Amino acid sequence: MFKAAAAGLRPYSETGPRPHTSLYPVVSEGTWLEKNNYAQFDGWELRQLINFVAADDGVPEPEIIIEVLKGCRNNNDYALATRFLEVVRLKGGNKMSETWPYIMQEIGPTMQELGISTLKEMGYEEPELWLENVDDM
Amino acid sequence: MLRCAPRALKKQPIWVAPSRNIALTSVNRDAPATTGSKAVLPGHEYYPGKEEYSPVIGHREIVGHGEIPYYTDSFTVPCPAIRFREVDEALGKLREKEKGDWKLLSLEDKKTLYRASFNSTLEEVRAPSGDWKRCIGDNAILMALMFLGVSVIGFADPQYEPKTVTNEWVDAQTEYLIKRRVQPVDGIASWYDYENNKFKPTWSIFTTKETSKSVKTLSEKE
Repeated sequence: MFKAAAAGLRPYSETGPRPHTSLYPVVSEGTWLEKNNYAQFDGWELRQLINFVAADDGVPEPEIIIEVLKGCRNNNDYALATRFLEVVRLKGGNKMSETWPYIMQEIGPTMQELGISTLKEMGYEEPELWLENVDDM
Repeated sequence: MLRCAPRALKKQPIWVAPSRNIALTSVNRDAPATTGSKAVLPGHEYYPGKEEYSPVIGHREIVGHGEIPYYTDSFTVPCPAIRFREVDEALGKLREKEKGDWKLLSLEDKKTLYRASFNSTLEEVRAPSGDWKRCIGDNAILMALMFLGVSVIGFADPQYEPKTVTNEWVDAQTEYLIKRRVQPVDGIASWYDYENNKFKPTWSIFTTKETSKSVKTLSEKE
């Protein structure tokens, strides 16, 4: 990610240990991704992870996204995968137009492999339904 | 000393906040454990928390951590502890399909799966409500009503007219100003011809039919 390095950004995996890393059986040696095998996570822990990603200040790296999608596949939860993709897209904030195409480029092959359709195909890049505000009822 | 005898006669029961375990299990204590389970989702006849929380959340599946599970749509907590929709037979069939290849799912299946777990997408959470139009509209209506009230009620009664607007007051005022020769360069004294004791022709733009009579009397006086 040459653009990211120029902007002073660093990969998400180098930011440091996270609270969930100590809760699970981990491999003593290896890279951070090998230690935290997100693909074998339970549905409950995946949701915890996604909530943490939403709260953290950064866009996750494609490798982590791929592992989480594989975890969703192992848990047979399709809705969680789309929700996670929405979170990743919106984490870009004002730079969504720069980060989202890059991430789609990186995870496109795995998404086709698993059979997950993109947010544009689902029509979730724009609001689909209108929900009345409770304060206006 | 305060007299507390009348209160002692009527013994009111002290209110105790029921602890959560008592409230939740008392509902199901008399009934056997099988009444709450509906075998509609194959493989989901029982999941942890089904009996304890069914009076709170209904037949919705618990999928996350949380002591009392509730559902919210939020960007900061995108994955709540429970799914949104209740368990159905059609949903059970979809879940069976979901266990297979995801390429065989149609777009409608995917959308129903999403809406079964979540109420609204995150884009819908971000979408604006358009409430500002209502605020401005309501304020405009109120301001219009106030303008109507002031124009109709405020100017209807001659009692509310100030006395400095009447012609008598204005004529006396102009007489005083001319005698004092105020504003001789650009104002009223410059529009009055003191040698002939009458107003110059430019004064006519400030007069109406009513005031012109008093101006004539003024010029005749001088």
